[in-house]
Amino acid sequence: MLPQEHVARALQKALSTGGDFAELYAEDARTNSLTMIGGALEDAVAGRDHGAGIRVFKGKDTVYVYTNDTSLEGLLSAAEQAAQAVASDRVRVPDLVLAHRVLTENHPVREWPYNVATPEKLDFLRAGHAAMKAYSPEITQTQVLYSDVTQHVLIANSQGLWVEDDRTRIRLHQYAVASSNGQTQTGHVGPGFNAGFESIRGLDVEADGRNAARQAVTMLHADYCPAGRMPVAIENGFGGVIFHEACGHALEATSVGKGNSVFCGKLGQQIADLRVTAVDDGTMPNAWGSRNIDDEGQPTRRNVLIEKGILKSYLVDRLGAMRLKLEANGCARRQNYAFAPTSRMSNTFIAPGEDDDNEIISTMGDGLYCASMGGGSVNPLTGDFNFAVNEAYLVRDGKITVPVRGATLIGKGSEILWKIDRVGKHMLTGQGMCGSLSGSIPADVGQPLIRVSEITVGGRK
Amino acid sequence: MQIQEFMDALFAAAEKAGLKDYEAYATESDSFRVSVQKAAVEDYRVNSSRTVSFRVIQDGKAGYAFTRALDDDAIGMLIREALQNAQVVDSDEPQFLYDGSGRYEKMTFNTAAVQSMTAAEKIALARKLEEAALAHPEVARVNSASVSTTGGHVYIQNSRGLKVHYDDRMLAAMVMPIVPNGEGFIGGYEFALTRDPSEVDVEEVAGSAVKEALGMVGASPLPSGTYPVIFRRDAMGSLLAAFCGIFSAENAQKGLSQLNGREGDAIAATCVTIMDDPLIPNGFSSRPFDDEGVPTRTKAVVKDGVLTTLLHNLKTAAKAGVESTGNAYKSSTASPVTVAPINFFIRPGTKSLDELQEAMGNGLVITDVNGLHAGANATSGDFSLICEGYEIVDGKKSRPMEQMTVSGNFYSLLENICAVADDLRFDGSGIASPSVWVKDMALAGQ
Repeated sequence: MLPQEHVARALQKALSTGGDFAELYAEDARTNSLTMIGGALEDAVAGRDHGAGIRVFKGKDTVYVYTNDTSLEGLLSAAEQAAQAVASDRVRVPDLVLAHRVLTENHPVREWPYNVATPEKLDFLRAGHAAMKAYSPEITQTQVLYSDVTQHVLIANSQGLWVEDDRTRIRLHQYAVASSNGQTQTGHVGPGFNAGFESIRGLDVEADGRNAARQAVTMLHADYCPAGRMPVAIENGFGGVIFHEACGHALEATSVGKGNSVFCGKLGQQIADLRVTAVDDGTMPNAWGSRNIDDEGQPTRRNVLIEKGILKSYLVDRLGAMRLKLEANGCARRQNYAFAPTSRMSNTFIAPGEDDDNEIISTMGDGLYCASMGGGSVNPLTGDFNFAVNEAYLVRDGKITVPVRGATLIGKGSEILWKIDRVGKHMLTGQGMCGSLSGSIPADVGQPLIRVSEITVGGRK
Repeated sequence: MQIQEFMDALFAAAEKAGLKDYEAYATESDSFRVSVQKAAVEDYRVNSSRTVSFRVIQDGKAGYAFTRALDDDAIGMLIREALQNAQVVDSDEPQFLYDGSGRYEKMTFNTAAVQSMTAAEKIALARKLEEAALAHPEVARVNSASVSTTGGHVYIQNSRGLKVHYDDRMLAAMVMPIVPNGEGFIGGYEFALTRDPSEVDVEEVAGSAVKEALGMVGASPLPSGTYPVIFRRDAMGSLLAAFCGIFSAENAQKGLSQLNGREGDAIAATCVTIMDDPLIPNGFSSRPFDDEGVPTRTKAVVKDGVLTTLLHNLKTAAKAGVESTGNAYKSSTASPVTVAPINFFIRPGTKSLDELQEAMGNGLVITDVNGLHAGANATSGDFSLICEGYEIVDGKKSRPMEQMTVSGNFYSLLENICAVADDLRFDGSGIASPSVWVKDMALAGQ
């Protein structure tokens, strides 16, 4: 996308004040989004994003400069700003040789989304709307959001790396609103893929729509969740957000490298119940959080974070590797060229265990069964996390009983890991957007059905 | 191409393509951020970006396209894609362009003060903040002290003769000291946001951040139950921001807010007046026109508890048969036009926070809520959020509390406000509130 000579000159310029390392990340992206409300297409937005960022390290200093102007002048100007920020004295930098690295394509795209005409895409949105609406007369509104992003990236650095990749990601959200007697509740289903339009064709859009509608109607007739501490069973799929928030963020070098994590200095130590094995795997074929390469150009990997309760690995990017004196492990990510990359999760999940789903519920006594989770957040310094439960049921004497609404789970990551007392056999993932230092990125979370012996449930009764 | 040159070429091409109603909304911005640790520059970012968003209206339907590459290809793409999108949209609510004939308030912001500050001066300011925090003996370390500046231009230009633009520029200075707490640590956070860097009181910002952290040392959960609660101004500001969408006519018309058709009804306690005032001199989000170029104006959205108006853009106003309130909003340059408040706040009362605490006697003060993006549902009004703060016993501040959740419904909360304090302050957002005392809230903890 950019001439090699321009990139080489920009990197050379970036090092002209004695920097140790320079990197250029450029991208050209096509985006498409469609918003259907109540069955009518409300908004259609197409776009082209384009820009480049230059990063320079010198000692402990890091500098990042980005621009939308990727002409030679634009790149050189950005490189000059980066160079001046690290030092003022000039040094001679030898010419750079950039060697093209050929990628192995692990996430094949069969049908590029920009080749699918909008009216054809709309058929899927309409089908979702119709399925939600048909589910119940209590469904008073629907929203279906479709988006695709196709991104060409180029990553080059002063160690001679030159790598390019084409990535596409696609997502279909369905939101159902149910109302009666002045009460309103919502339901949501939103699968996403690092794949082409074939992934949307492979969905059962109507079943997803019915599921969103069922959730909204179920919650409409639910009483408020009780508040207090109790055992909680969390279903597979997006339930994995508990590990993502409670623990995953605190294993990122961004937190660990600065001493701001409860898991600092604990490699090789037991930090969780023996049942817990947790993995971050950026290589899962066509999964929402997958990539061929990370945003520093390194191949993504399957990183075992916790194995049978023992902390095995952090998520380490190039800067984190310098700070922690560890090897980078292919997890540097960023929203786009406007952000410098940092260590981030990709597809993160608790691995399947050996416990039986029925036994997990039947032996829990009185507590809460969380069938579907919403998003959450965490303070990595203290490990305080919180997340919302979209669909929950009271468990009474080991039996799932009535639905309850408005539940939140809160706790401390380091404590919750010890309290996981059951891990089921059937792992599933769910899709989310994860926001942190390097922007908003697609991330999969996952787990089998798990049980936590005691956790604080926020409710209203 | 430069931005104005690109817009001119785009308009010439649009005319040639036979388009009648079209509009370009463009932003050109730059930002700078430096963060120091142990006086060394730890992170340094310089950015410049520009975005042109183009909308075409055909038979009342709007299609959008945007680009950050300003070349000839992009001009063709914008026209082709926006037109195609206008043709597939099937919403039956007609969209309009504004002709710029209204009267605009004269507003000029001090952009020179921040503009003239050098990188070295910004680094020096960040170092001073870190030093001021470290000067407090309780502080173990400073996670980050940073100074950032952002600024730029917004241009709106359309085929009906509208051509407006404004500039703005701000500086934010932030510090995050960390103090020991038992076997671990906790952090505090404070920042100053201003158009005039000489206004940043380094000692005060650092002192306030340290005080925030120390106030939470030894915090623990309190028993679950129902408590009278004061949401401190910043916590209430966060709640108001999370739920401000209920006042959008767009959401109301689509059944996504429960305020549809409620104008004239009491929807809040009589002590509650909620203003949207885009014209506050030197206000955080102040601006002379909204994102459709319509002049902005000051209005009470809720007056003495009664809903006086919803917030409108041109489309929702036409549907409701009223005038636009000047609240058209694009969440980013690339986004379609929706509706949002500009400087939005609950009007302050006359009592201080201390006086409110005394009047409450026993209860809780919530100083921070978290998890709003998932735990607050703007459609149902329900929220269930992790919170922290302190207990009030006999009107006095008692032990700190953390690891609790507060749950309720925003619509009922508005009805259950007993008093509003006098401590309104805008910091970091155009949406703010004084502290408010709410009758009873459900909290979960121990």
